[in-house]
Amino acid sequence: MTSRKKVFKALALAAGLALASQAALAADRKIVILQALTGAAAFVGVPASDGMKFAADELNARNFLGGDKIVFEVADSASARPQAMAAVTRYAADPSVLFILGPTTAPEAIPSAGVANDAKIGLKAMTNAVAMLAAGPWGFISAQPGAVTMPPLGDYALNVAKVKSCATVRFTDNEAYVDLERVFVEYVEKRGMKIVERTGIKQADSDFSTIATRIVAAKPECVVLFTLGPSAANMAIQLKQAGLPPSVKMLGQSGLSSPQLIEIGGAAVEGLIFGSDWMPGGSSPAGRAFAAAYKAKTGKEADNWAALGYSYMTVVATAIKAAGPNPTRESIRDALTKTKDVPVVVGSGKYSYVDRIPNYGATFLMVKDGKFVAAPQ
Amino acid sequence: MMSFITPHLPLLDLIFIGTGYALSQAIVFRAGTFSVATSGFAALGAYAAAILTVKQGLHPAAAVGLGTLLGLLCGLLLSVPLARLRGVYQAIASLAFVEILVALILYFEDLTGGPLGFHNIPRVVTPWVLFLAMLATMVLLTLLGRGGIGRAFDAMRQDPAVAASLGVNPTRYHVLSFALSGAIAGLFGGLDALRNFSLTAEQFGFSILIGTLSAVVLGGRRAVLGPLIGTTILVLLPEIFRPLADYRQAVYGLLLVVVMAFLPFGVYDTIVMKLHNRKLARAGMLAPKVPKALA
Amino acid sequence: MQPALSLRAISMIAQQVLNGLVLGGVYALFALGFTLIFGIHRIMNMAHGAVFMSGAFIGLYMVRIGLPIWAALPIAMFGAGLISIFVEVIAFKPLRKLALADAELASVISSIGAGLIILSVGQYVSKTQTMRFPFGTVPVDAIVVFGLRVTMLQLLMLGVAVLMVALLAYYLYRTAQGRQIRAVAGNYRAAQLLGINPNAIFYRTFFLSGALAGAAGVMVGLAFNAVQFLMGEPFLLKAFVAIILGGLGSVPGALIGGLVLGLLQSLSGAYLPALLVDAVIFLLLFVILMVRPDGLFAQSVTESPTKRV
Repeated sequence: MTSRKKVFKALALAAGLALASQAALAADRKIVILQALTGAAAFVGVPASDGMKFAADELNARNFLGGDKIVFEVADSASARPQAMAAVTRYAADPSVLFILGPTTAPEAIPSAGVANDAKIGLKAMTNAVAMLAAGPWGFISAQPGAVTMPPLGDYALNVAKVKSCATVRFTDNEAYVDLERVFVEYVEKRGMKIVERTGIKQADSDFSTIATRIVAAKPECVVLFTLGPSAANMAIQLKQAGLPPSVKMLGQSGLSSPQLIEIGGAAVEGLIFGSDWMPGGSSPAGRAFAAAYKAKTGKEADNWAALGYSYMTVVATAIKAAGPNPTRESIRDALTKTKDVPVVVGSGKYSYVDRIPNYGATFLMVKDGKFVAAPQ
Repeated sequence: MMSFITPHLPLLDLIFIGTGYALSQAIVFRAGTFSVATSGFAALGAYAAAILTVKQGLHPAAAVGLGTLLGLLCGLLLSVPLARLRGVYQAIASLAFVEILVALILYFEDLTGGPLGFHNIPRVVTPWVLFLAMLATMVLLTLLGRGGIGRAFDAMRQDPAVAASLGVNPTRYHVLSFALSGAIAGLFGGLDALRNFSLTAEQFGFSILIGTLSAVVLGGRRAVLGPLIGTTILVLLPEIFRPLADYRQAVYGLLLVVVMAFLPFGVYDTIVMKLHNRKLARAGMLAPKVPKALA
Repeated sequence: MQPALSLRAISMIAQQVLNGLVLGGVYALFALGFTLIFGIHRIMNMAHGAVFMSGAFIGLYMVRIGLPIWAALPIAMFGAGLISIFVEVIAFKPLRKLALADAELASVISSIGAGLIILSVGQYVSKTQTMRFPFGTVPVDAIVVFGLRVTMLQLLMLGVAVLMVALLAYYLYRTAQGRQIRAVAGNYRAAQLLGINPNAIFYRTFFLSGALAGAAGVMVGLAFNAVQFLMGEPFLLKAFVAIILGGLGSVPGALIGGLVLGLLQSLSGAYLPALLVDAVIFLLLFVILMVRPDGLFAQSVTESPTKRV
């Protein structure tokens, strides 16, 4: 080989090495999106994971993490405890995974928190079940628990809807909803409201005829639903069939915030008012921009869960950024614990953790003419 | 090596615990009783171990021991009414027992957590403990099976009248089979609870029943290795053929149908039988072919 | 002095009794299908719950593609009948060819397997989601009769139950085919000697059983507005109370048993904590098995199937 060729080769090699190391410097930050893509909670998990993926792509597009990219892998917990726990174990064993966003529901998340604390990987679940925190510092809840969201709902019932007696319906097998109902009842009873009937259903139940008859016989001025959307819609139908008068107000919480409430409930849910995280279409400039961009990219309207997923991914990405140039699982966990005023598209627009309890406000929606609108204040 | 095993530990857990439950189920089948009460005994053992450890502060080993005892006692109790029934009526009665138990566990919320489940159980049980428990159980059952007890069970299963005429006291062995079944299920239920952080009543319902039944049907109910082989196949199949994982139920169902039609004694027992028959044939000891199946 | 029961309490009891009878009618349909197979063939078809679910699925899809409910129902029943024949062919027929020592156990397990296969087809088709009938499939109106509120849906359910039972009774007791079925009742030698094809008997009885289960499935799907692939299993478990109470193999028994079960579930749901209702129902099942396992209307057979030798 001539000496010129040798120099060329050396230069090419050097350039190649420089490029390679440059690429290596731009690191991949791997997050696992573990949501219920099949099973009973899929109607939450699928839009949530869509929102998270959308957020990750958007954040990468505007170089949120500098040169680094968020790389995500999507896994299905099938709304089932053993699958969720096995997935956490599997991903925790992969050292390239920095954080897990999920699982979806409280029954999956609470034992998964145990696994996460064992394996020392951060886990931020969709649920608001405070029981998840007991397992250790690695588990995080994402939604606001009853202590934060129920006083505004109670105030709405007492002062705006002006009802003097209520009946409640709650999921008995989901920590989150048991908590919400309990806090609500405590709050309003202290302020003079009478709770005439407190009933419970299981998440998989569908035969409400007996309970509906009981509630109607108790003649409440309002019925408050502490369940997810589809069950609430079904309950509303069966209540109306059992003869619930149209003058009885129906109230609820953010679990009802999905298009299925209207699809399934139809005329039976007209006038239902509930506290929600997300106002369809967005209630702030950032929210409206998100709704438009999401619709443009996916062709679907962003619902409560997609908006929450989008916001939660933003919060985790912010924590990774705050953890500095070489984030570890520990440093991400610590940064996440200190989250303060991260801009999000739900609630009042700012997300913080206060003693590991999420705080981000709420907005009240009403079902009117088959659509969600802002509720009268 | 560890980095290969660690992500798959949950599979080993499933195999060890699943085999324990399958062994509990296999005993009563072998003794000729069509009972599916195993998941009920397991629920008792699991909740007892969890409540005693978390709420009473008992040492986990003692808690699991008490859970095992509870399972044993419940097995003894259940054997009495079930002795008066036959065949599918026993199955329905044992099913009713499991459902009653699940409903009661759900009702006594203050004790068990009710529908919310019982959470934050310390993970004190390691895969090694599970493995040793499974091994010990299999050794115990092999020893019992080789002796008079095993022969008595086989006799009772095939022809209760003949067994009685041969001096086998059906009541005694019936009760014994239930006591063993209850104890083993209670043991593994307790270990399950102290391994998997939380319990819900529903996990002891239909799906565990199907899984345990499938494992015994697939592997065989007579030999002690049958439940292990059946459980291992059922746990590993969805992992090896990933697409099957989504259709777990269909695979179990297909297995049940096909095995009943072609290998009614299960994979392992059929192999043992065929080898045994070959040995007998070579020694010229085999009678002309009879349509009724041999033990 | 306060009256022992206020008017409001009586009215609620009456309403719950109505709920119970309507539910009982559906349980009766389901139990009839199951007990028919047992009475004729002495087989326990554990895939009955899955057939019930298939009926609900077919009914739902027919309504979704635009058929009115009164057209969807017979199609669903027909489809469920065919699926029931499928179960017979894959789960029970192969076992008849093998003279198994414990055929009972084998056919129960085999039918559990067939049920699981049907279940997972349902799971795949529904993507594990719970599906709902579109709002307004049955008009949401109600009429008031003697102070009792009866919805259109409840009238439909009662009507279908009564009609199905009447049709079944007519078929079994008034037609030649029905007489054949009853005469054969498990004695296949006699059937062949009489020139009756035993296979035909199997297909007909399984079809009938499936059609009844399918009708029950559509009714339950409409009533509780939740159609999902697992809906059959809890229903089958509870229905055992009706089947055993009435007596395995007895047609009037299945009817009475179904109504009793419906009333029990409704009334205990009204007055007991919801979580105890299941305990009560299964405790009743256990007690019946202990005290009178042959049920109220025991079928007279040469050997009682319940006593251990």
